[in-house]
Amino acid sequence: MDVAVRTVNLRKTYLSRGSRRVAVTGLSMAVPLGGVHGFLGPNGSGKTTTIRMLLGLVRADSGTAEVFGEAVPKRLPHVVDRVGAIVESPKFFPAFTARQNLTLLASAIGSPRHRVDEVLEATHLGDRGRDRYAGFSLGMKQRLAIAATLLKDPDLLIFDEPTNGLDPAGIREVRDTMRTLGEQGKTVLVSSHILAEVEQVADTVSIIGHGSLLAEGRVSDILGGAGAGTAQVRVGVASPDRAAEVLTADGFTLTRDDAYLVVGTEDPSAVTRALAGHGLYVAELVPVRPDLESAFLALTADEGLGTDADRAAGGRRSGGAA
Amino acid sequence: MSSTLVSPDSRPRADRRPKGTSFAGLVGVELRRLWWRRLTKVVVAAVVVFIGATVYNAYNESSPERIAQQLDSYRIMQQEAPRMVEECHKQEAIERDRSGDPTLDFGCDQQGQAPTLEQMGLALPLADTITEGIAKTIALLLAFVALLLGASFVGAEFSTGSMGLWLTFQPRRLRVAASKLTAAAAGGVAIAVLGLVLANLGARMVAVVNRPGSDLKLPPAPALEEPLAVLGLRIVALALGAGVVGAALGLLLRHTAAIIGAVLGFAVVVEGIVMQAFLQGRLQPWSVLKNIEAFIERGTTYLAESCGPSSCDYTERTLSYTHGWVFLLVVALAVVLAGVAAFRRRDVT
Repeated sequence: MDVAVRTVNLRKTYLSRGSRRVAVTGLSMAVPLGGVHGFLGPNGSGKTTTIRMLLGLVRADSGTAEVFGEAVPKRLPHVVDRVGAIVESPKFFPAFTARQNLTLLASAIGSPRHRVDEVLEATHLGDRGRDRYAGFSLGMKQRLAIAATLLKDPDLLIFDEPTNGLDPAGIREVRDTMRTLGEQGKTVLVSSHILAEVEQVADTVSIIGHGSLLAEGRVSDILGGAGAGTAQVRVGVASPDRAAEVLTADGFTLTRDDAYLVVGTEDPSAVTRALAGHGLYVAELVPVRPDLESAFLALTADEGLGTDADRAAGGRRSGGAA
Repeated sequence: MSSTLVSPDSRPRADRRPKGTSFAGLVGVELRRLWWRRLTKVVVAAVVVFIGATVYNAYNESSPERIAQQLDSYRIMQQEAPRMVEECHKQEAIERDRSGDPTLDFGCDQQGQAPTLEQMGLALPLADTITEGIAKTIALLLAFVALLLGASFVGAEFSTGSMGLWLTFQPRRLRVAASKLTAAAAGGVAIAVLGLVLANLGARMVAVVNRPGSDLKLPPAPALEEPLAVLGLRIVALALGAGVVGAALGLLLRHTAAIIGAVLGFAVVVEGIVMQAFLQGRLQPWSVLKNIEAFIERGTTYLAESCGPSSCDYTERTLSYTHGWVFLLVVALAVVLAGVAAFRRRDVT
């Protein structure tokens, strides 16, 4: 497999006020060339630290990393023109205009001056080029950051939590942009803790927890594994308790979801037949598609990790750092 | 509006790909950013205002009316001299009688010698002399604003977080650091040259406007110890060094406020207290301010305690020009090396 990014046993520990904080511990992963690759993990699992190490902003304690086959950070200058990145929130000079910020970056890499206008137009900021960055909304800042990455016309784009703080229209715009870039043959590495968001655009994913890899592969393979692949239907019926008794007696496995039953079966018609045989008629029957969140929760169950919602309910359990 | 932020681009890729930039190009980018900064404009305005005030002060000091007043005082002193000598001799005689010591000498003959015009600092206001005075007055200010400009120039990149973005475009840290230090040095030079040019222009205007009439007989101003350009070069070099040190402190401390705090703290605690209060003034050869003075003035003096077999006295000691520039160079190199080393090794988050 051709890979755009590869890490082997990457490790990073932060020393802060005498305490040690392990952010990434022996992370080995590969991002295939072309398409969108989701880099998933809860907050504090080491995603941003890993991205910073790939970009040479943070020095790894041990392990190796490669971008397009070149060891980074040592040979990063040889491939940096092929890499565009937005790490965490966009960060430009607030007192400068959008055009000034982009002009500086374009001049720094020898990009022709007209590229600034082109990328401003491409990101729908053409008429805001003379406005100060400080006055931009979060969505506009994010667009400007994307514009900056496009100055290089990169082969690899790294987006770190790109939809944080965006409104639904902005989220969709960024998502479609990533999809388009992936379809153009570029490699898009997008880190996120919002699994549903990545699931909609990613071809492949790496899931990390506590700074190490938990799973990696095509999204369909991840969904098929880790116990998330069993076909299920959600059944709405007038007497769910009675229906549960009937289905359990007939050998179905099921769980309750409020007034609904979630029944594991490869043949939904068997469920309707069983219920109808006992005078129970199905009002609603919806296939339950396995999702990345289920897969992720299954993978992280043993790690004491979970989604943000889980952590909000159960307190902070992860000890890594981003 | 389309739902994607990427428009198709059918041009050949070579037309879109960046071509890279040389070190000089990178310095040019940094200089452009330096010029676009609001603080740069504020600093330029502050330098213009301060030099304007200094020139105005020189204008007042050398106005014909003021010189005429000083000449009047001088003439009165000359007229009063014989009477003062006579009065002195009377008092001397009285004291000799009272003490019975005929050798008692009040030095009346010396008192009778009125000072010359040169001794009173009265001379034709020449442009070079006025420029020299203004230049020595503003040297420290120019160095401080150059340091502030350099420190803020780099510190702001860290505090806004844009240094991380910059490094994703230019990952060679030594090259990045060198370009920033060079731009800060150029900024310091520009500020110093601006200040000196304004000072020179102002001094020439003052010399023309305040040229005394032929009724005021004044001696020519004493010749300068060195060409004005040499003093100017030293002030430019000082501002250059201050700009570089400011930028290096920015790489080291990463925040403009932290740098200003450190510099002011050093000035108050080390320069103001430690250098004066400890070891009876003998630490002053290691004072940055004293060495700047030695560098600009081509040597200076300081008071420090010297102890003999029976007593201790404060004596005047010399701090040479060579000591001044060598010390300042070593300090600047140390700060630059520390700043670059920290920037090279530290994580940028």
